[in-house]
Amino acid sequence: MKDGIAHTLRELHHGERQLARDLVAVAERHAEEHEVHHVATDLADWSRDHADRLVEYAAAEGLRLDDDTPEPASGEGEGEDRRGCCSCTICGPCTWPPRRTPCTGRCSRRPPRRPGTNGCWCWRRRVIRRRCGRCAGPTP
Amino acid sequence: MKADRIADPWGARVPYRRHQAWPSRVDTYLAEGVEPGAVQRWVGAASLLHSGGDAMDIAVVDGRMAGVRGRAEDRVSRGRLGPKDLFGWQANASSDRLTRPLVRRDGHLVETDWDTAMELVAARTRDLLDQRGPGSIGFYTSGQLFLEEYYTLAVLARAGIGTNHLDGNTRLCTATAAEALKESFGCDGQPGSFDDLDHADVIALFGHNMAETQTVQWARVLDRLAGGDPPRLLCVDPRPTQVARHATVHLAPRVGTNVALLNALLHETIRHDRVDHDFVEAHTVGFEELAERVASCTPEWAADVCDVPAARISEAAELVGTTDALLSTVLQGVYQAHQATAAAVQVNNLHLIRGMLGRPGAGVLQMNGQPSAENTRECGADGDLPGFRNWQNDSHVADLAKVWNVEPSTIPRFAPPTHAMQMFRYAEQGSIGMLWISGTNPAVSLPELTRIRALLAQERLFTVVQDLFLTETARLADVVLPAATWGEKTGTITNADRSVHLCEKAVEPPGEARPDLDIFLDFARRMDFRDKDGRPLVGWREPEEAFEAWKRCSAGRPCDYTGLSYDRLRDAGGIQWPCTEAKPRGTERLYTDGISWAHPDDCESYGKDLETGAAVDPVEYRSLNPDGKAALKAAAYVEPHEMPDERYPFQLSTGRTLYHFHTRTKTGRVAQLDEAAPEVWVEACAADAVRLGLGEGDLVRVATPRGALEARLRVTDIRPGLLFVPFHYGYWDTKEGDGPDGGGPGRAANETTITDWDPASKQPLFKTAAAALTLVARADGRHAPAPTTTASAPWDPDSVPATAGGQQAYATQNSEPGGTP
Repeated sequence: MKDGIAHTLRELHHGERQLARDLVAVAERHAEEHEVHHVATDLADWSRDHADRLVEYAAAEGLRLDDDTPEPASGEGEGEDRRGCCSCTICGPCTWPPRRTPCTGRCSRRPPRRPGTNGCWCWRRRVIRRRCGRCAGPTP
Repeated sequence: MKADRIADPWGARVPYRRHQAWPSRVDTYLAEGVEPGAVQRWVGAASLLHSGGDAMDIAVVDGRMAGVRGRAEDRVSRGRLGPKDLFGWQANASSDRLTRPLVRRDGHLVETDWDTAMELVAARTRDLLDQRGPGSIGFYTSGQLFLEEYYTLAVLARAGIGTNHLDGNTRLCTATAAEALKESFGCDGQPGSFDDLDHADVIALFGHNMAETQTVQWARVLDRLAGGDPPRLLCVDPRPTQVARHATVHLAPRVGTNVALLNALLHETIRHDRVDHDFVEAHTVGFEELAERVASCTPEWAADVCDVPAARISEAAELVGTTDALLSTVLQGVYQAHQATAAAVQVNNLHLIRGMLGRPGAGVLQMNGQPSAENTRECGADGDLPGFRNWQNDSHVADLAKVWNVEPSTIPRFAPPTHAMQMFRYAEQGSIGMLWISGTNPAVSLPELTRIRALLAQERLFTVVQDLFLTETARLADVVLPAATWGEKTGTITNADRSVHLCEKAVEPPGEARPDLDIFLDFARRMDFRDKDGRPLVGWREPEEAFEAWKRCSAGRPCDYTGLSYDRLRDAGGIQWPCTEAKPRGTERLYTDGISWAHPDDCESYGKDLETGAAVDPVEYRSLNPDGKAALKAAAYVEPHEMPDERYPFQLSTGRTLYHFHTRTKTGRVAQLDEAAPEVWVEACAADAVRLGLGEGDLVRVATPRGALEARLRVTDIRPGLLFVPFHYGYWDTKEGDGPDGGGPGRAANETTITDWDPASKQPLFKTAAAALTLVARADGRHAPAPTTTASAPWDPDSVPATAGGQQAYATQNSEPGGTP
């Protein structure tokens, strides 16, 4: 493979991965804006799919496109901008793989269903199935 | 002949052969003790509790409604009436009708007079307009008012207030039908006709439980099935509906996978070259792309996605691919499911590539749910511009401004019209400060009710509710306006196959209740809306004048009403638009001679990206479709956002039952209908019930990440892994009145549903959620309060007593002699 093509593939792969990360960040930052949230989540899937196809194509040509930095989990890397997020413990930045979206403050109006557990109202209503940022498989 | 029409919702058979006219059968129900000879007047109307538009006359005795009778000569129903037509009118006389306006004082709704209530509304409107502009005011209307009322509302909202926030609850029922037609044909407008049921060889029903949503048209199908040369049915529905029981091929796919299934049908149609190449060449664009997109969608692939045997998919493909006359109908199983528009468009594609359009028996019916949903679309009360005008096309906007005699800049078009779900989001955020809700009940019908109740109860949001009863929504309002309803006011209603009917006033409304039209006109007068010459913007006072104004707005548009008048509708019954002086008998089918409204200069919409909803640019549309052909839009299957997992292992779908309409505000107040389905229930299949140790009648809890409800379990032949809950049940007839009792388990299906919508049509998803099912208490001999006549029929027929209406549900049916078996 020519160097130019290899470089282009690397750049494209990196760009798609970055776009997926940005879209996930947007989706989670605007979880209460349902249209933004759902469409951004769908578009992130597109970008992951594009990245996977680039990996596949490159591998067939003998080029290994490294899965650079993993996608951050919800909240990670965007701690500065957590508008309206309440202070309950479970809504803090969670660890990879992504599983929950950050709370946007709605639960401050309602007591947790089961204090001290994962029963926070805002968390319960926002659980959505995500794909793992590394393998694109469903997370538990 | 008399029959219990609760036990037999479809009535007696009058068999007829293919291509014959459907014989009449006149159904009559009169209140107990009223003899036919005692009826003083019969007043013409059409049904209000479904989208069929069955023509009927209302019996009047001493100034009160005393019954109804079908009209034999009407083209739509040929005299037949369904259970909701026969019995629903009785709700008008309920003792708890609203009779005086209410306003909130110190947290309580108290009675007041019209002047006080309307002045309060007008004053708040003026305040908001002065301080925050027209974007702070939103209107959320219904699918059950009359054309004249929607049109008046559209004029005052668009040109009077100047707001972009106007939509109907038709967003929940018919938005996808409209969007799918715009995507494929460039413009809204039902291509087919109900008469196609007389001529079709194969009827394919996609997520359309016709037996329960349009009982009279289902009786037509049953009559054909009983006659010579009967049609073959394809049913796509995860529930064991009556349609499924009569189908030649029944597919019960995993919910949310319609696009995968339809792509496989398209794949087979193309692979076997069952394509009408001449039609495709002459009338469509995009065939190559479609063929490429479905090339890998084999029945085997779809079988895996949809969990349906590949052999059944091939059989279905053969059925729709080899017939000479295919009629497809589509409803909520597609419209309220994941990838709604993409799936509905694939049904259009199937017809376009097979050339099954514009001929008797060959057509598409993208159905509606509500009686006047069609009118919200025509009049622009669903956010579109009136007369199917294109908000992105300057000449369309200028044309509309000319009709209204306002400056084009008066009509807001800086952004797409705000759809209902976004309007409620703006109200939640506070940018909308006043929400005027007419004739609908979002506190029961919208998804995620905890959120909706909290949003409507906000102090900063001024809510006006215009309704017949103190609904769950009205209880949260700041001003409640008592409205007159069907039979108490005059107006027109257009059904799902473009048939316009006149509904006339038969009796006086109760107390001080007023027609919705009068309320809107009162508001327009108080606001003193003017056109550019200083004359009143809304220059009409009576329904007939409003109709004439609408005719001027519709002139030259696809939905041309200029050949219609109240007199003509009185004489002729239902007439299908477009109806002009040149075509006074109306138009049975659209697109009989090519695609007429898709040209870039004419089309209502340039279309949207089906996956993201992004609007197609006018220039892009013009380059892709310069000659205005039908667009074959391909779509890939994508997985629903919410799929079952360990915690929520079931899929959950909500839906309707034959005996109720919307949130039961009327049907729940009618003994015959209420007793047939008095309480909410949940359906699961026998294998799932056995696995969880559950049985018929057990009290169970259905929970999702949003909330939960409790209901009794009906064990049916529904698709394994799927739960079904009817969405009709709210709280007005419970102790609390507006929400779950003391924070306890809910009764409304929408406690559990997700806030998510189709990107193109913006129709919320009610049929694709994940849920958990757990036991609360054993049945103890009780059974689920679900009808046995419908899709909720028990798996073991002997386990539950059959649904019957008894003496109070006996109605007369007189069939035309000489039906041909």
